Amino acid sequence: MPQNYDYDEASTTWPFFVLTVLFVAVTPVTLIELYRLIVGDSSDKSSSSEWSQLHEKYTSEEVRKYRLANKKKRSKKGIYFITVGWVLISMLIYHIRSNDAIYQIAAAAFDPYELLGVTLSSTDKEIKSAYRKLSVKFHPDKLSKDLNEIERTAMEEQFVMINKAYKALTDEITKENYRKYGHPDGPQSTSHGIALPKFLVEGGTSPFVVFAYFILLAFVLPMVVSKWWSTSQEYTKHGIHSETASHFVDKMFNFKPSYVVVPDLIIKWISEAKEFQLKFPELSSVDIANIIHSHVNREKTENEYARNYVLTKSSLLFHQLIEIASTFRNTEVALMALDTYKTVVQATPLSPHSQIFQLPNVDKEHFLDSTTDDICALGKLFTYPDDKIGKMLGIKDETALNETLKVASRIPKLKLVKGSFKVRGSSLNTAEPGSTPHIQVKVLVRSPRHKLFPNSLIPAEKIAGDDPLLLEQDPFEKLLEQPLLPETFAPLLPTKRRTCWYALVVSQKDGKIIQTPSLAQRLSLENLDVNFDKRVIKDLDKEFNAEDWTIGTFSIPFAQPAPKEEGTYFFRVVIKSPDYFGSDLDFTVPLTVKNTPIETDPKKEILEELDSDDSGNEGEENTGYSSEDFDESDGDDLEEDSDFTDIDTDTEDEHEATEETTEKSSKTD
Amino acid sequence: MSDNGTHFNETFFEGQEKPEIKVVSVYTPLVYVSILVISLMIFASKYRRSQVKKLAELPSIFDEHEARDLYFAIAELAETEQLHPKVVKAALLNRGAEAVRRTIKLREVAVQIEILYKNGSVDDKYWQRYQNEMKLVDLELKSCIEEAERLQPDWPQAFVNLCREICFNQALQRRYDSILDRKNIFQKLYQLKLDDNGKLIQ
Repeated sequence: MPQNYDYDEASTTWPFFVLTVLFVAVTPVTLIELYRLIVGDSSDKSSSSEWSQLHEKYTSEEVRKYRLANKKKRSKKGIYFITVGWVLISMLIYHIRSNDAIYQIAAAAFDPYELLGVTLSSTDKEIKSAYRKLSVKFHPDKLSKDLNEIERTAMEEQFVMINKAYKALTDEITKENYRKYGHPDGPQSTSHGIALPKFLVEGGTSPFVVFAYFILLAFVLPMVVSKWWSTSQEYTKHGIHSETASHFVDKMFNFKPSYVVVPDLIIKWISEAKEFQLKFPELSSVDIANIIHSHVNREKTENEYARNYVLTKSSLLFHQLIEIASTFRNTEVALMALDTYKTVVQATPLSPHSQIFQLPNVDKEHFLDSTTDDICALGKLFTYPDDKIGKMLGIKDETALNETLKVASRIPKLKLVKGSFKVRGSSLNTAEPGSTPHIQVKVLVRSPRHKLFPNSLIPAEKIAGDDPLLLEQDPFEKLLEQPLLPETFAPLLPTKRRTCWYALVVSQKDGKIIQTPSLAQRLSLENLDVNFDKRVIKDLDKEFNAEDWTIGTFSIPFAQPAPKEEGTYFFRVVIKSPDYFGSDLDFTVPLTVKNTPIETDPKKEILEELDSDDSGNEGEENTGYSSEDFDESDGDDLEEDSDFTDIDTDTEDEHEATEETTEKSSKTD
Repeated sequence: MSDNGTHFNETFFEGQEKPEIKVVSVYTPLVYVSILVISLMIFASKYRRSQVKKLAELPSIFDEHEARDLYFAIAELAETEQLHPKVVKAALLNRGAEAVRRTIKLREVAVQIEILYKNGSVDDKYWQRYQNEMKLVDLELKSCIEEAERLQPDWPQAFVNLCREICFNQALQRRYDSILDRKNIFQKLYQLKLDDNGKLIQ
């Protein structure tokens, strides 16, 4: 060790280093925790809403405990960190304050203002007068003779300092020196030291310090780096174990079109995930599959302890499976995975009556025995009066029935208003070859309780929605204006989840998915509060008020540019909810590729567009939709081969008719 | 260097010590270099062998290879027992058809695997397995053709075409066979009611 290094013997420097490091670490965490505290409060506010209370009420004690424990675990770590951090900081500050050496150093620093007793804002005149007064007081000639030697020298030193201070503030050169080097005499000698107390480096403890450095550099650092590297290798970018990902890809790769995909198969794939093997090495994939099946059937399992973890994890696995299946362009698997996802979220097996059985309090056996008419859809359920619904579902308690109906009426159903390809910045409904279009879907969110009404009742400007002047706006940014979707009613699921929709785009040419699914998490559900009960509304035209309804928008990115050749291409768009049964949408959108004629005045074009909107709408309707109401067409979705647009529209008309007739017949009852 | 030189130095820089001179054999650098090169070569060969071993340990991305196993079982049997030559040929055709299917399949999913690899959905290992499979499937087809030539010298040209046709036929057959399964499974799942002609009753 070179001899000319000073150690921090008086502990004047290292506390500041440590303090800085501590502040850097603790301050952001504190801010995050504070933010969480505030936001957590606001989420508590939303949980006090009727909907969340209802959700909370049906949540079992066990699940609630699990949720709470999870929440606490996350927040506690941060709080511990903050507490320890701030305790250390306060200890350090105390240490610094009680350390005289630091004050001495600070006192030794040259501050002309303090020496002269003036402030930074003092004028030259004030400085001068202050200097005069002090110099008179401390001038060696004017000192009283009674002072002893030591006091005298102190006074003389003080006089020199005052002179220097005065010069520093008035004399040009000294001023410059002070400004540049912090001292009136020019640069001072700088000393380089080690911010470690001497006893650590020299003497008996030095081997320990060397050893600590050695451990840190030779073992800890490589270990941390290698651990980080191996975990980053072990898990894919999307957060699942890479072996699980390989497993899913293997399954998709070896998938033969002759296989029939059923929920059991999807659950089997999910249960073979590496995550479960790592967490519960004692459970086989069959056990895991049994756990999922028992959750779906709302039964107890023998391995109850693993249940919460399995279900929590499965959500991510489902998402990845859907994504991988979509990348492999496999419509059948992707759709069935979504359906299976739904059965897990709602703990309701896939059946024609899933829509009914997803509701709370429903007595399944009683329902199947009691009804003669086959009721599969929530919309049909609401054609009956409340007490009769109670009788059918086997709910005797009145509050329980009310709650069931509340949940049922708040399950959002989507009604397609218009689906079309749009190109950013263009008001036309056609795309130029090679341009990048996106799919814009206008939907009407409605409650199953609401009476159906034709799209023609919705004013055209509401559908068109976008202001022609805002065409340049990013369509996906615009989506952010819509509120986030609320919590899903899934009381049996160990985690709370937000409602969302997956949008899959399938080419009609070969019936294969063409891009990874896009997720819609924002949509206004305020329509659900509109009072438009089927059983009350008699005269549709009179009682309909267009003002009450908002039209929601899905913007689905289109991963490929428009085809090079002119023509019309058909794409099937499936908007599927992983949360509720009966909230799906499945329709065909044509993409018309056409070279635009010579540019006309843009203003005129917009005007023309607005004019033609009314007439263009009817034309749009035949092409731009398939199933008005998805109540009973879930079966059609799965058969997948329905890539003929005309067939879709046909069946859909029938649906309308059947539902209309059932409604009428129920009224005559 | 020479003795003179050192003397010369000494006279001028009296305070300095006499630089020590070590006699080094001409072979020393050669030995050094050869040790270095040999150790590197040993390392490289070991490393390469371990890499190859690792690659060989990676599981195939295909589920099974029944057609190949079946062919080898039959070929083995043919050596000891009297088998009709057509049995061996049929097994070889079956194996060839499977090889053709794999070639087509791998080519078909090339884009998808690449997308998955690029967006980080699968790791390097899977990518390696895929690359392996690409090479293996070529070898497999080649070995099938060689076998065909061994069985019947002027066969290979027709053999490949025949394999392709068998492959397509098998694919169609599988799809056709699954129609009934599909019907039964979905009928049960959605509790569909069908009349005697198989038409849906609404």
